[in-house]
Amino acid sequence: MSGGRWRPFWPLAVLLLLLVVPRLDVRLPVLFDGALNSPGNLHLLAVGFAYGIAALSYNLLFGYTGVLSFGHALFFGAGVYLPTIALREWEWGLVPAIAFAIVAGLLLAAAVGAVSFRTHGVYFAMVTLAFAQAGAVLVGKNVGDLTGGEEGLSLPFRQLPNWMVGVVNTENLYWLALAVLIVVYALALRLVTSPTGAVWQGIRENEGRVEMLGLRPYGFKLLAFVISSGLATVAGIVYLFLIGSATPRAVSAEFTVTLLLMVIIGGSGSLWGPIAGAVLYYYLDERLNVWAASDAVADLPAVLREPLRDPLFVFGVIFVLLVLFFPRGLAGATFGRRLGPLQRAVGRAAPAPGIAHEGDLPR
Amino acid sequence: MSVAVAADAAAQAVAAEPFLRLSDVHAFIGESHILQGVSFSAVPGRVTVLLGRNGAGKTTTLRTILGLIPAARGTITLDGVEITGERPHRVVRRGVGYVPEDRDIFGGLTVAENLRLAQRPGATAERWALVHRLFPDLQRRAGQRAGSLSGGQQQMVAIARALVNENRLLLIDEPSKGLAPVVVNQVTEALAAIKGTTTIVLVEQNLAVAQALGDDAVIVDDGRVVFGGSMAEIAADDALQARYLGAGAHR
Amino acid sequence: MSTIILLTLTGLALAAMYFLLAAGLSLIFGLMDVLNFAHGAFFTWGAYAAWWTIGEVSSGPRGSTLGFLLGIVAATVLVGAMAAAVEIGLLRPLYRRPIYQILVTLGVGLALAQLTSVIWRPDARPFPQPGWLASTSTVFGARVPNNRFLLIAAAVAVLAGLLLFLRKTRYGLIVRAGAENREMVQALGIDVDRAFTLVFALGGALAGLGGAFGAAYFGAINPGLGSANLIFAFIVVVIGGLGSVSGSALAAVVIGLAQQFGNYYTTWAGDFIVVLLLAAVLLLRPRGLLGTLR
Repeated sequence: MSGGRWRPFWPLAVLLLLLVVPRLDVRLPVLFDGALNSPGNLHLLAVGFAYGIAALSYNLLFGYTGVLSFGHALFFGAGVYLPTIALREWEWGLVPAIAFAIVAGLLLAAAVGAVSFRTHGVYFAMVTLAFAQAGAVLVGKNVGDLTGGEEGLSLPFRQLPNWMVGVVNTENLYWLALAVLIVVYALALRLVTSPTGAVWQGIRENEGRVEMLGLRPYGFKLLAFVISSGLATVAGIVYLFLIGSATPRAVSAEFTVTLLLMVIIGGSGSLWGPIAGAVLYYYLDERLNVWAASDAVADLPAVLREPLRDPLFVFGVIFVLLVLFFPRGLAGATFGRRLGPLQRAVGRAAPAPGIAHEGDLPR
Repeated sequence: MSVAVAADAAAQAVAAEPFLRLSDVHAFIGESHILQGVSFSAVPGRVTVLLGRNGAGKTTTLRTILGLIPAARGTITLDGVEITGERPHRVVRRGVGYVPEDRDIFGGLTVAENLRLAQRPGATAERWALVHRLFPDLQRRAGQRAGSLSGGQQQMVAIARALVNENRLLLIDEPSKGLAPVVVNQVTEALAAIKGTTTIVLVEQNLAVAQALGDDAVIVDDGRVVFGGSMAEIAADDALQARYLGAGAHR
Repeated sequence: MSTIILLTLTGLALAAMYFLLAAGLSLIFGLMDVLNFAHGAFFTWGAYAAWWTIGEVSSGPRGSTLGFLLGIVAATVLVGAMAAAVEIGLLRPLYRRPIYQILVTLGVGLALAQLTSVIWRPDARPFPQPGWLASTSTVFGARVPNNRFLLIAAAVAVLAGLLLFLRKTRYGLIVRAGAENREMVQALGIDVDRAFTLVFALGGALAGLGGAFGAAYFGAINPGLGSANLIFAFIVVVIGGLGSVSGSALAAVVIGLAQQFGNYYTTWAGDFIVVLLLAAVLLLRPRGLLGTLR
């Protein structure tokens, strides 16, 4: 992505744009249905923001610390299900329900992380998958009759404050999602530029070297995992208020894979890349349906028309083309280096640290 | 005279066409510029030893010849044919045998399977007989899992693998590393036996073994060839050894 | 007693299906370092290929035996060819970058699975298996559908065939060596690329076969058939040991039985136990039951 010295200002410019969007009564045909600031479009962007928070949280772990987890949906799902259950079954207030979800998410992450980090690489990824699957099973099979099984649970709207409910208040939800996104982004920025963040990136590059510096990677990885998962829970809570119900998809392995896709599309080398990837992903997910039903597509022969109607199919094809021809994500980070964590996860055991090995700088 | 030309001249002085020729070869590992212009030749019937400190780029040179690492610049010719950029299996099929630094035998396969895997159409009954004569132990342990062999026995398998075919070029990386002297002798004997029409390029840290086996020597330092000449020259030059071969050269 | 027999045989049949999926996955990962996320789609396509073939050859709710046999062949051949095409067209260009290969399988899996939904609509379809397969035989008082027996027999045959291939043929030797050290195999003058295509196609064919039998086992097909079972296949591969075919067989049996018996008592205990097993194995013996340390 060219742009030279203007590059750092792109995210800022986009942010300013987003702040102004609810006032923009413009029409962008094909790109958006109706005015840009209509409730439908604001809702679309807001959900994109929620996914953006989730993708950003995932990238703290994946892109910055170099840890591949297949269990992120577990914590996002906690943010979706726990407040719903607290509000419905136990009739708690809104704030206690949210607090409960965040605390529970953090505790769960601490427990899962403490156990899982006894392994590494592909094995770690699989252990997290196992835990997430356990959660998905509990949710999907309606254990304890709490989760509503395959159909999920809807939010009891009567217990929510007025400003959050109803189509007319979509703009408020837009601001909520954007505000949380900005706060989470700022927090993440502070973290990755802090000494802790430096250690995380050191772990990503060469865990052995970090150990030789006298630091224990286990603690740092666990910290990254807990913070990342906690932020995923926050993302889940925002998502819940936007969608109004809790469904098992939020806890599924497919959702975690979707997060990984978003991070890859946007580029794992930055904080705002995953956000952009998430918004783009959700945008395409919604718009492909509309485009497929448009007149231009209706005129195509059935062989072309039918597949284009299925957004997931188009996604799959686009993704394959992306990987083959445009491996640099939106943020323009070079893939080779940035996919290091995935590479390490599936590659052979790394050579023992301290032994001179081909690949070290020649001395 | 530039070093590359000197090394070349030394080889040509023996009145034989160089079988292997590297010309200004550059290679990267990741972003590290490991080989920064390596040039030398190797001649059939003689053992050319690559000497140099740890990390100088000797192993990388062998791997680049094989094509396991793509040469970023420069040319590599084998028997007059340019092989730069060829895929490893194609290079090897031209008659190249490789004994890697870490042996790299297949632990999950039996000794016999390891050898059978290495066998190409160039394998002859004579070579098999040679291998069995040089390493009788291997025939006894044919059905044994290679991973359960001792270090020395594994090294024998690694070398036998390269000898089974009538290779015209042998690339051998530190064959004596970590081996008992008795085994080192066996290895020396094996190499001497096939020296005949074969071109051998040997990487060796142990100067004593290098002297025993080597005819010509090339010193690699920081990814470049800094000296080329006969083994005798280097053996006699203490200053040269101290400068480029570091403390561990003498055992 | 009859319940136990029924659960055991059904569990073994489920294990057989998982094995067909897992064996290919395990070999592909062992040799190519590729986590093949398209494997579930291969399974789905196997089911649909078999279903379509039976529908063409015979009609009515009960297909003919010939139709079923042709369906199996169609599933295996079609999906094997599909897998070969994917490997040659999409994976080979990325041969030095396994990460990209994994991502490509992700996209391909998504697109292929959705394609069945596009072509044949997302609703479930009943699978018209021959009458004798759908009917039951009585074993020690338990009434077991015959397709369970067929599935188990097929898996045993495949296991034997795979082990013979790996131990007795030259390509099997190459695959075993390549799984340990791909580079050294190339340094011996062997074109590993061909082995890659072979293994990927073989894995795909097995997944397709699994899908055809799976269709008979479940009695119905839908576009999500593969992804629902893929996760258990991954679990079987990891528990058995990445790259080990016999490991996959052993793990499949353990998981199939655990799932059946567990789910008999509550709807979720079986799945839960499987997940616990995975966590236990990963924490105590990460290389799996029969795998080697990597």
